[in-house]
Amino acid sequence: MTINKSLLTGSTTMLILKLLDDQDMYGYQMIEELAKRSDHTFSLKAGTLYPLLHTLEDQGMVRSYERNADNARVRKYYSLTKKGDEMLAEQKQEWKTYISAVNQVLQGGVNFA
Amino acid sequence: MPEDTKIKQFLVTVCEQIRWKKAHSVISQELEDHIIDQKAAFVAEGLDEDTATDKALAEMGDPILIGSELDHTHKPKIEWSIISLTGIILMLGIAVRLLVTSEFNMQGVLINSIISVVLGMACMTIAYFLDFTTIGKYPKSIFLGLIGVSLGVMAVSPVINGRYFYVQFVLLLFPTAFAGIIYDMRTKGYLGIIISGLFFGIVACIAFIIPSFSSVLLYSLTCLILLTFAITKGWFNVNKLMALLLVYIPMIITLFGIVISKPYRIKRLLIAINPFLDPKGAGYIGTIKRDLLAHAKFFGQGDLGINSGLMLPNINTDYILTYLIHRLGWISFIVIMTAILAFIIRAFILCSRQKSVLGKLVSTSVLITFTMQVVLYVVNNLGFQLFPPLTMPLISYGGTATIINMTLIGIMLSVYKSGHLVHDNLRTSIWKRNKLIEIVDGKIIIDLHK
Repeated sequence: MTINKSLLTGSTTMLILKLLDDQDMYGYQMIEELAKRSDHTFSLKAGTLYPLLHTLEDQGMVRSYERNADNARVRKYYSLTKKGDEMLAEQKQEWKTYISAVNQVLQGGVNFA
Repeated sequence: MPEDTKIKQFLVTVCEQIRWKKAHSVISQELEDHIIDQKAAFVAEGLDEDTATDKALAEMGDPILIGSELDHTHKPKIEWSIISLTGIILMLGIAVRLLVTSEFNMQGVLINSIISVVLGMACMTIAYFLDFTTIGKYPKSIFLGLIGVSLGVMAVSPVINGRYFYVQFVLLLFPTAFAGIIYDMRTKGYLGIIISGLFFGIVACIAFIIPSFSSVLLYSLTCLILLTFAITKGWFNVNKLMALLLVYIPMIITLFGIVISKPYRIKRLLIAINPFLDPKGAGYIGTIKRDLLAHAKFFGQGDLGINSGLMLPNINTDYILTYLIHRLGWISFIVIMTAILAFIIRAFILCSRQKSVLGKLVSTSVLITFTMQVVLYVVNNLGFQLFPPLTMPLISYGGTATIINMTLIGIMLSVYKSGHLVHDNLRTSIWKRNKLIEIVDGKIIIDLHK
């Protein structure tokens, strides 16, 4: 199933931070991993990913370093910083609030909270 | 290969949108890696090379859009915090100069101070715009060039109190040049440490010839800290303990030899700790300083009943802090030290954020040089008269010292500006190994892309 793009945009940062929370990755790996984990629902474009990653690095949410990847080629890896970890927790919380609010409306006002 | 040209064209278009040229190589490298990975994945799915390239590029999106997005993020980082702190310290220096020159009628000193600050600003700006990675590219030429400059200055420098006066300040540039040497030698293991030691030694000898024990101490401690830092970070890739012993054993033996060789040096050390042992001789100034400090108040003039400027020689250069503490109270010391400490702490934080070895080494070398000058000057002015004070950066009077310190700050700002884009040639060394056929983990890899 393909998803309306605007649904993805707001949460991309959170998804990227979550990926890096599990392990350090390079850009291509992130796109692959995101597609895999979402059963190919999310296909993130490189053109979206890199500007976002570089902004996050500039803000100190992630940091980058170069390392040999498994195939002995050098890759630019990203890892989550403490600040990024806090941002992730915050965004997860916001997301939960948002989802439960959306559900509430969709399900006709039944309160699950 | 035509598909290579397509990839290059894509990268060039992306980079054309990014105004800051220094960021280009890092960005196109990362995007190129991505395209190659993507293309390889398509080839593995059974597409032919050409189609795979086209599809991989299509996956990337619009190069102009990507480029302009990246342009927003990648701008030179001007460290306004360091620039403003430098400005504040300079203004404190000028204010102090105004006070001293008005009290003792030395207008020439004030004018010289202002001229050196203006020249310093010019040098700081030039250093800021120069690419600091040059220090990593030509470390030996820079180091030897500086030695040449020092010897040249020695030949023309006036000898003041038996000392080649101006060479002392030229020596302040050496720790940063030494950072380049460490960077260059770090791949050579123990031999690299020994060669670094030799480079260090040449300049230590110059400092002895001046003769300026303050310079020897300042230069040695700064370089020692840098070398220790590099070793403990594992940049030399050798056993850390062995490497540290290799540095510290010769160092301690030399130091011991210097102190022991002339009996008067031990006496001087004792008098430094307690100047009252010889209040009319070697402990004379130490005694005066302790007297002045003992009678200083928190606010306002101390109660020794005399202007401290009349009791100390060379207050503008050597004893500005002692003078101020007695003349205006400890509050003046607290204000100056707060500004200086804020500068040091901020610079320390920024240094620790540097990712590349070269950026870290160069910015740290400036930070330590600055801090060491402060420590030696403050310790001296607070009554411990072992080494003649060199200079209190940007505060005490001294044209050459001010210009050189500001140049160093400019180099540091240049590291903060673009240090995050410098990577320590991990990639080039890999590329050198990337041959058509190579053996990795027992597998023969034939790479036709190169």
